Amino acid sequence: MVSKGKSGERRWGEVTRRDFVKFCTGVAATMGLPMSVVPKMAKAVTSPQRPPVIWLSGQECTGCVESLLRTNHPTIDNLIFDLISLEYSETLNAGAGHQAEHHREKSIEANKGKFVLVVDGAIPVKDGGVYCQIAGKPVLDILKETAPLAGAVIAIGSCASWGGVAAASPNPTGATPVHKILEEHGISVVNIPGCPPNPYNFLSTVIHFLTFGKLPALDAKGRPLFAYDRRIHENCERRPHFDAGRFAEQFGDESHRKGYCLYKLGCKGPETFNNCSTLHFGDVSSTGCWPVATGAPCFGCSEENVGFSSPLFSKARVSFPTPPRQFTEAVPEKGGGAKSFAYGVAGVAVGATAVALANLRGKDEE
Amino acid sequence: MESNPAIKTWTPATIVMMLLIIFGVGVGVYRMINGLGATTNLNDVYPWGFWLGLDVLGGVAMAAGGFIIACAVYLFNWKKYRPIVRPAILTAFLGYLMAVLALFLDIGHPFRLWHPSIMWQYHSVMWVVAMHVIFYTTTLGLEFSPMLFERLGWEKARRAVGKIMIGAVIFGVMLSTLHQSSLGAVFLIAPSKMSSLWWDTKLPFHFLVSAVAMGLSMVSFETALSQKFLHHKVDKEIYFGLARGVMIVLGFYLCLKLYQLFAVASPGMAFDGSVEGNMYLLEMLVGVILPLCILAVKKYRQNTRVIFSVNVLVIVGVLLNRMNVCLFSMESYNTWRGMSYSPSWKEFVVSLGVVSIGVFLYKMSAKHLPLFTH
Repeated sequence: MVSKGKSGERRWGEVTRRDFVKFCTGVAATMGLPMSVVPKMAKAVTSPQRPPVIWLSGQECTGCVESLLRTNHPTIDNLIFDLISLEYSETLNAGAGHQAEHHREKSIEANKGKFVLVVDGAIPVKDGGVYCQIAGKPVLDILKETAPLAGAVIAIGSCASWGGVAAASPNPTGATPVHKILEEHGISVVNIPGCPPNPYNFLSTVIHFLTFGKLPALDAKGRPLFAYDRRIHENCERRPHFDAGRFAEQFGDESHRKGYCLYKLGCKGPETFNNCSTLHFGDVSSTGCWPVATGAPCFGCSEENVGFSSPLFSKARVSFPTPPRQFTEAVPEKGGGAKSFAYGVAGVAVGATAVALANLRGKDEE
Repeated sequence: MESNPAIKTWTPATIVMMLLIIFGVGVGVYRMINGLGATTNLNDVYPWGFWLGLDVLGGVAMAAGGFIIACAVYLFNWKKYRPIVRPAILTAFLGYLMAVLALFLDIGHPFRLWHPSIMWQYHSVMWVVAMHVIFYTTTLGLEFSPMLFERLGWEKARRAVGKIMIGAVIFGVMLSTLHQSSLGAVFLIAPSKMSSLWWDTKLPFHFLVSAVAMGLSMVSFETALSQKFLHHKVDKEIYFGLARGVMIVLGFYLCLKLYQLFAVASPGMAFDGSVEGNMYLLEMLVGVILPLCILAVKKYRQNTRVIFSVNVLVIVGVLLNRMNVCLFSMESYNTWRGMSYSPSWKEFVVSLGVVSIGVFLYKMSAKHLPLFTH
């Protein structure tokens, strides 16, 4: 697709080279990678062997796809035509019906072990998974057939990552997150939770995979650390209000209008790991396009057991809300840790207890 | 009267105690010359360590038996407990002397120990504690003095003390209730450091009630030991009465702690696998729940061997509680601040020495003073 534009600049599709390198630089910065990887990234992304992507949808609202459609760096058409080879997606398929299904099967066969499988939406497992069927086949079966052949599996959105709204109590269809279904097959899954997640968290993960042939560093819950290693609270623009004790008490009150902290309105920022407070939505990252900036408390959409699970207006658990009076010394003083001492004391106590209890069995002394 | 010939001065146990005392005194002198930093592992975040937790908080709680038995015998005239009133008072007196000794080594400027008695800072709980220790140790000395006067044959002095004994006991009971609880009140200053499994505005009451349970157990425990090793024969009914007392007080204590767990902390905190949670569970299991379960059975309540075991459990449990309050309840806060603490060997040696001095003095009193005459 490389051609010369009117100004003589090299172009990929509708993207100028300058824009494209800017995009790669942005992705590298999002993941905290050095600038030296940018050319490598550009090469990987523009290689004629574009990575095939199969996009499966379970119980979903298309919100994740919609948010991906709204990206400008690159635009979705550049993404799916030039950067990746989107082989199958129910929302974006050109073909329909048997034609689309046939193409999916053909593509899986041709790209065994190389394609990226993206799943959005939870997977219903109750009653054999009949509550979500595609082409007359439960999506549960489709996932189980497809995942073992994929090079990498990415679960996008909270439904695919934790079950999300589909799995909210009482969960009538047995909606289950993708990683739970695949863990018994020994397949690891990258989770990009959020409702929807920031599309750049997803794009950066995909491009990391393209560039280095492996997935970015993940946390214990399978989330990429570059996006999900800090709590929203830690970088929140309203944090100074929290620290100073200035809170909105009710929706629309004076404090709310002044932009005070939303903690008392039920903001779940203190317990939700995500980068919303540093990487805003809608490609307007410096203008405050994210829930807290607009006055809506974070409801913890991307955190397991918080979003769709804990009450909307209940207060979040905050660890260490106040700064310490004294700060830690750079080099801790001597001593081997009170923990070991505590368990030493506990051991002595357990020993004494055991001796005392053993003594119970004897006869009464005269 | 003469010394008790049935008690030998030099036994293997006494020799071990003497060695411990010599080592302890040696390290104590080292501490006086080189200071706390050279001797202990204490730091700015853990200013109160093993000495405070075990020797002072634990020792004072152990001494609670003194005021309870004195109150029962001299004020309520419960004659049944007369045989153990002198040992109980002696234990309390020695316990307080040991606590003062440990305190002397533990404060930054030992030779300013007397300052609170002259320079009153009556807004400070620490001042209250210091004054209580001074007054109550003096009172215990007075309650103890008849034994000494009898031995020396000073009849006049003996009778003079006898006249004010009731007043001294009343004063001692008042001081003790205040003192046991004010040791708990000292920790009210640290709500953000301590885990709320322990911290509560009712901490002083917890300290008082647990000290009463501990005191009763300690009296029963040491009476049993005296019976075995120092040939002090007492009626079994005394053990049964003390065990009933332990059961009633522990039952009340359990209610206080459960209220604390549900109303102030939350039950989940005890089961979250943290150091605090684990230590809390151990403390409650060993010191409260197990003893209550055993004492609830009447057959066990009337078996001196079982009662002895229960006493060990209660003593260990309340000592654990004091160590927890003093040290381990602050584990997560202090660890978060990058600090750690475990006692140095010198701290252990001094603690062992202090305890040995107490036990040795008790034995010598049993030999040379009319301790077991009733």
